[in-house]
Amino acid sequence: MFNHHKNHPKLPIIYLVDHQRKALLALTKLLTPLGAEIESFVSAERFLRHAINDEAACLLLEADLQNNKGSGIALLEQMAVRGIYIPTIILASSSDIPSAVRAMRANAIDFIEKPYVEHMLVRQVKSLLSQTHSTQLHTPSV
Amino acid sequence: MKESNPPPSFEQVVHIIDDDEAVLDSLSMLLDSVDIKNATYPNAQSFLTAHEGDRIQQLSGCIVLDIRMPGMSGMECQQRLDALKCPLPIIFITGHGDVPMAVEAMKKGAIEFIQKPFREQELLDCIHHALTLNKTAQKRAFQSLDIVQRCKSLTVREKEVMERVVAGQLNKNIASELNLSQRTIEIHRANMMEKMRVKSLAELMTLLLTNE
Repeated sequence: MFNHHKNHPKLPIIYLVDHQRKALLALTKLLTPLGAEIESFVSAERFLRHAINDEAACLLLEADLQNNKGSGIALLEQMAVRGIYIPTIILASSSDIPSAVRAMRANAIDFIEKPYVEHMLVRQVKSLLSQTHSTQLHTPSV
Repeated sequence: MKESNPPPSFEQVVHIIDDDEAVLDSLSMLLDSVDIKNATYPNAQSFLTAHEGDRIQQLSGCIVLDIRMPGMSGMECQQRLDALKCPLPIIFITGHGDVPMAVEAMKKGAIEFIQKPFREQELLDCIHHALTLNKTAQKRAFQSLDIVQRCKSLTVREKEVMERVVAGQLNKNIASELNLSQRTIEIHRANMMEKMRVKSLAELMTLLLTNE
């Protein structure tokens, strides 16, 4: 069903990184109506091993600072070092000001404390998709 | 040959804005102790008044800004400074910050957001970082202004020659393209190199590329 339209042969990709599968599923369900491709990863390491595609539109990255010692933010810093730039929203399970500041300094475009407000997150991702891809995707109202 | 403009003096001052007089005193003393020039302001308005108009764009240094103050808040002050194109990096300090506030301040370009009480060394590190950023940005701005001025000093002919030289054309090709003798091109080329203050083609390329 994809790739049938000549004007946009490839769909933009939303990357999700969260160590909890349940959280990945919830995000996938929430963002599927936006019509982008969604790729999920359960760890930062797996995501980094994945070749980053030109169609990358955004990354939703979980930062569980209590259990994971901020590995999400560390991933962001690594990406900056490697010169990989994908607009990234950090979703923080637990947070404090120093981590938020660190994430923002590592080029995050936003740092949102969980639980996130669903429609706000959808709106933000939608605007990121439209920034990367000026061509209109089929976006049913959500 | 035209004299080059002397680089402006970058005397950096740390501007501390906080409504708590005790904080102003202790920070000022801290900075004095490490020989960093500083100025204190009891509120945001007094900083804005002290550097009214275009002068705010000529400032050098950084700002240490308290978030919560009576009258204009730190965040409002950041917005005003942004609108006025104030080049000073901002370090926020706060006793009552939360994550959304910190994120908002960073989104708007603050370079640091520190919670009180902080260790003196922590603040000093931030200030050193801010001053370095400010110096780099100023140098870059000055260099590009300087290069633009050098380009402006070229005549139309010299500019035409420069464009072609940079594109890798040989003098004789430039001569035939511009319908001039090769000797004339050589003279224009030499004048152009002198005005751009470079000695080699490589130097000219580097100069133009850094200003891209």
